[in-house]
Amino acid sequence: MTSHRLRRPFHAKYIALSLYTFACVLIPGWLLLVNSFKTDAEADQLGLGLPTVWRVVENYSTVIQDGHVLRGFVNTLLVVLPTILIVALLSSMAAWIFARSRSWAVRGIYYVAISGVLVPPAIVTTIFLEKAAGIYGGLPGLGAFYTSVSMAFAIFLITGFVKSVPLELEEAARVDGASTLIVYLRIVLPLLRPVLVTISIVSFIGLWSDFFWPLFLLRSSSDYTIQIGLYSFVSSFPFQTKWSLLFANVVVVSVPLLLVFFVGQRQIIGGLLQGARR
Amino acid sequence: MSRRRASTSKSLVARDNFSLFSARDRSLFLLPALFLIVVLYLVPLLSNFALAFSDWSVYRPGIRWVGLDNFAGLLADGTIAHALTTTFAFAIYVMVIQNALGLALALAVEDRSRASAVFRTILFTPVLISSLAAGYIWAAILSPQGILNQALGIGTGGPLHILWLGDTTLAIIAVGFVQAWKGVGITMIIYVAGLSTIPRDLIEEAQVEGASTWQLFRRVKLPLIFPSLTFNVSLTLIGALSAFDVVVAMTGGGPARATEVLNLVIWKQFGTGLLGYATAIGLVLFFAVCLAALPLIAYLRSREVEL
Repeated sequence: MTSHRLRRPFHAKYIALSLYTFACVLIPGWLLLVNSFKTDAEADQLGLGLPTVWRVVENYSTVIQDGHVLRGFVNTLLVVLPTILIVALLSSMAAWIFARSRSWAVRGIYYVAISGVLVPPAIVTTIFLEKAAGIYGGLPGLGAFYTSVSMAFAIFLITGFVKSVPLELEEAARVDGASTLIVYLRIVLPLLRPVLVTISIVSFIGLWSDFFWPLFLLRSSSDYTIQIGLYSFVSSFPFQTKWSLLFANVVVVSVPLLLVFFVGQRQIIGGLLQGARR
Repeated sequence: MSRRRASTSKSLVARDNFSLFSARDRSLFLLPALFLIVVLYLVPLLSNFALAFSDWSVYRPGIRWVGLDNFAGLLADGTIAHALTTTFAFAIYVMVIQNALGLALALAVEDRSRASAVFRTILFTPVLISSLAAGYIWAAILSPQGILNQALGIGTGGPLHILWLGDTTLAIIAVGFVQAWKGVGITMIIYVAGLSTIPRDLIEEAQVEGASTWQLFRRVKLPLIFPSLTFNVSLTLIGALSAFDVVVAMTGGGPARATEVLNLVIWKQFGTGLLGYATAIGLVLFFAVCLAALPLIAYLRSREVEL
């Protein structure tokens, strides 16, 4: 391991890495931000220069009002937060049984329960079913659907996690006469904290960014989530795309996730790495 | 409570052939999750097999069975053949570039240096942008007057006006690239996780014996991260088979339907109100995923054991 053998590929590696990072992440990010501050006419050039006329307040207040951004935030959080809580609770309960059970019937049910990891849901028939159940068209129907289809991946990850946790603690509690519910609440749930945090983060990113399902499952514009709001705002430009406003809307919609990420990035990437290692 | 205690101690004694839980507790813990999965995931999935053969529409209250009429119509006007070809070409292309790029990036940032940690963070950010937003940003970059043409113009000495999204071949390449770009941060992190499980002394030993960087990758690292590869390949392929958001934001299916993937066809049929047709295409997507992804995963898993 002489130094010249290591150093050359090392330099080439960082040059290539920097080129990709600049061309494909930093420059698109800069383009997005700087053009969201420009006038319509100037943003239409789609260049990278600073604005000659700054239109920060005008652009962003237009987007927040006409794009109904606050309504979108509230609707998205109203659906996503309960979904994540219910998924964490119900999937960890089920996963615990799946991980600790040896019966072939339970194993069979496990494979049915995680089939959603591979096979995407069927959207049009979901509408049929939600109509029949009387929950189609609004936020409760969207939330119920999200909860159902998020369960497969959560159960899959948590079951793997529980299997790596030794049985002794649960057995000791059992010998002391604790009921299943007490063992779950006092011993299992606290041990699952890391994997539950990972699942919640992954679900939050996925559901916050989701556009496809609410497009089918929401009817009234008062229920629109942020991504649907962005789409309907962009689709409402009468003649041609107003890039300054489009970019401002994209920034507003993206900033919350980016902020959460940069504040908690160590835990997030660390949690993902740990989750993926299992 | 004596019954529970009895069953508990019995299960403790014989835990190798019986579960730790009473049947009642088992049901109580499993049923809430299973109920939701069955009602809002499995039942719709299975209803596909019925409603795809019906004339369900928004124009009439009842539903009649029409046999294979929906499929006959979709086959006759070429919708299914076109959507399947487009979707598979798109998905395989996305799967290949997302994994090649993700693996290359992972190999570049896997070490524990400060610089690599910074790169990992920056390279992960596209994951936090919605696919819809990513599509809009890249539509701007790739527009005729956009910065890609501007940059290429500087390189070639004249103004360029390549219609990246207006050409049937270039459009699918461009949209596929954005689909891969948006998800490559996750792919990279999963490969980094796989690489980090390789014991250090194994790599050092190979280096001492004079293995080149390529040999080290091909003979040591790749076989050991094969589970990550299986996972990533399945995830990206299934994700790309059900792509939608990026296509809507960048081309809306055009030009000349060149980027009309299955989910976009479902959305368009849904818009016409002929829900039986939309369901029939949903069933095609279901079979596309099952027939493409499941054998691929089985094959990759068998290779894992071999290597």
